[in-house]
Amino acid sequence: MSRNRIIYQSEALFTSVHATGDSAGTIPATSVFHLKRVTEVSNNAEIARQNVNVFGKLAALSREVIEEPTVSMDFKYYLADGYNEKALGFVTNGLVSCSSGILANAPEAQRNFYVLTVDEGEDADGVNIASVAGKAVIGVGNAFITNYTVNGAVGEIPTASVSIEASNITFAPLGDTNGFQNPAVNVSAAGSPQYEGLVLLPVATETGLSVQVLRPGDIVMDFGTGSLQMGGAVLDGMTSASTKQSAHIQSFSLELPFSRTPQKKLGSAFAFSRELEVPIDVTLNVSANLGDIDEGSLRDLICATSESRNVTIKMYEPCDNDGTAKEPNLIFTLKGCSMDSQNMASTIGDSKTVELKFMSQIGGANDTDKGLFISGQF
Amino acid sequence: MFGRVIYDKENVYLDGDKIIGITDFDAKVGFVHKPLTVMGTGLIGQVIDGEITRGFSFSRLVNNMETGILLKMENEMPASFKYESSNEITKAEEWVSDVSKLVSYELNCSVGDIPTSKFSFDCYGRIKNEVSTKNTDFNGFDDFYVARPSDLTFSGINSFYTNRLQSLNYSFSIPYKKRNFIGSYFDPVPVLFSPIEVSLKLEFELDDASAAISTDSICENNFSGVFSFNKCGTEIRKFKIENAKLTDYSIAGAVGPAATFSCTYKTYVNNIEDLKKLVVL
Repeated sequence: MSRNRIIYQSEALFTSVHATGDSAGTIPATSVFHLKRVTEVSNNAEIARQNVNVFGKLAALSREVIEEPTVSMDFKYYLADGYNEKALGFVTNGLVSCSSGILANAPEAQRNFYVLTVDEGEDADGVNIASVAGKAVIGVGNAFITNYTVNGAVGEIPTASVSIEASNITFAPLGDTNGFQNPAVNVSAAGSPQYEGLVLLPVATETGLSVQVLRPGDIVMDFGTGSLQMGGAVLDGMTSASTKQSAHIQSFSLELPFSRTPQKKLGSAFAFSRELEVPIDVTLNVSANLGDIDEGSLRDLICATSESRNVTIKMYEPCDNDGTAKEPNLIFTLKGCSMDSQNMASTIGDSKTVELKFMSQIGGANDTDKGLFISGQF
Repeated sequence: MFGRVIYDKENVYLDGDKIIGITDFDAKVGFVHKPLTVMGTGLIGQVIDGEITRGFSFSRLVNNMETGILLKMENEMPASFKYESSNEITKAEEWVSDVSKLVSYELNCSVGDIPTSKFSFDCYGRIKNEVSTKNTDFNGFDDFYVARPSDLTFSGINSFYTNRLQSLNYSFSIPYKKRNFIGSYFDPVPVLFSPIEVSLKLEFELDDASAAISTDSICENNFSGVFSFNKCGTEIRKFKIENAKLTDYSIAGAVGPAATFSCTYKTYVNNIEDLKKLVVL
């Protein structure tokens, strides 16, 4: 039956561990993961064409596609226990950098994404894909994550936003079967054909996570024991916070960019790889209402050794943010970061605010002192 | 009054045929004047003292009709550049060369750009500007197919291995020597001096240069292969190089971009017929 509209209840987002699957491009359901708690999905395809204008003809002879079209997808989900992060290829053991697999150019770094749409009025959650008619899938092939951002704020459920870039996008009506052509293209073969193998989707289910969602009141940030070298805001975790009022954090944004450069060559319509642009800077922006201030001078920062601190963001289960019941559901640790800016503002009526920016760089796969480390209950 | 003359009112003709796919045209004529000074008076005038340099070149998108010019490259062909008025319905003029010969050809293909080829000609005989008639032939565009960088394939015994080709430059120049003689009105006669050099320059993103380049094998290094532009199953253009020797290579790296390496190969042929066997397949 034709749809009048598609709303969120009818959609589910999946990702597969590999883009290519086996040699034929077949990807079983066991290699595909349903991304849970997704709240937004958008996809975009842009085709760069070059006009072919020649002597003797005013209008272009043709508009040739000289470069690979750009396919992008953005989605957002509520943070939970690291399940989605693991499904996206991040390392979530907290022991090595979360991007170690991606940096090592492991096959998991390149993946596919699938947006399943079921019939109007049906929940995509729990639907039997093999038997329900009226399904369609938007497949995004040869995809790489280009940005991962975690946001937390007073009054808002903490979320993660992910951006990807890909080589191909397909649109496949499914009928009453499970199985659609792999959207990935074989960039190493002449003509870059699309893989013939089929992708099978598992059943989408929102169960299986250790928590429904995390709450802003259960987030604890620790900025390390040392005060800011230039003085200023007192932050949670600092030694001075035991005798002074620390700033009341209102929001934070932790951004991990994975900018990629498409590697092109003559004879190939698609980029044969998308290599990471290094070095990679990880940025933590914090916005807070200022409490007490620590003494210090900007000159002290200039003449001192470079600051390096570890900032930890722990997200607990509801009403368990002292860690007595169990370990945090999700922990983000930014190691080896230093403060880049501290901006204060006062206005009539509102509290004095402070905006801080911390930055670190992603270390290699074996670097345990620098980078972003993620650990979760999943 | 002509008004503004733009590309849709410009056409190039070679040996009577309109050349489709041209993106630019450039003609130059130069005269060498010698001042005459004599005793008792000083400067009495100027005279032409030397060969009148005449030539033109045009760039063209690599296409399926390109071989037509190359197959008659040894011919002395009339050429013209016709331009028409945008203001008046019938007004047109032509820059005409009665005799012209192809002296060089260069094909460039790089990632992100439509491949182009440049043809350069020397002119002999009369050069003139004359009133002409407007072009009335608008056919030929439907059968004109342009190559794309992704359409390039290479088959050769000494392949690129895992290095990624970013650009190629394939060129030849025909070494005509101009013979002047007394009474020739500064209009030399071209004489072909062999050999004819064919050059191929390749630029890669570096992956494994040692497999492709080895100083130990300079004496045995024979680079051969066929380059072909195939657009969705339709062959657009095909050319090759045979028994080419490596003449130079370079490797470069910097913070940020990928490391690159480039290499140049050259081969030689005796005459134009042998040249045609390389550049037109």
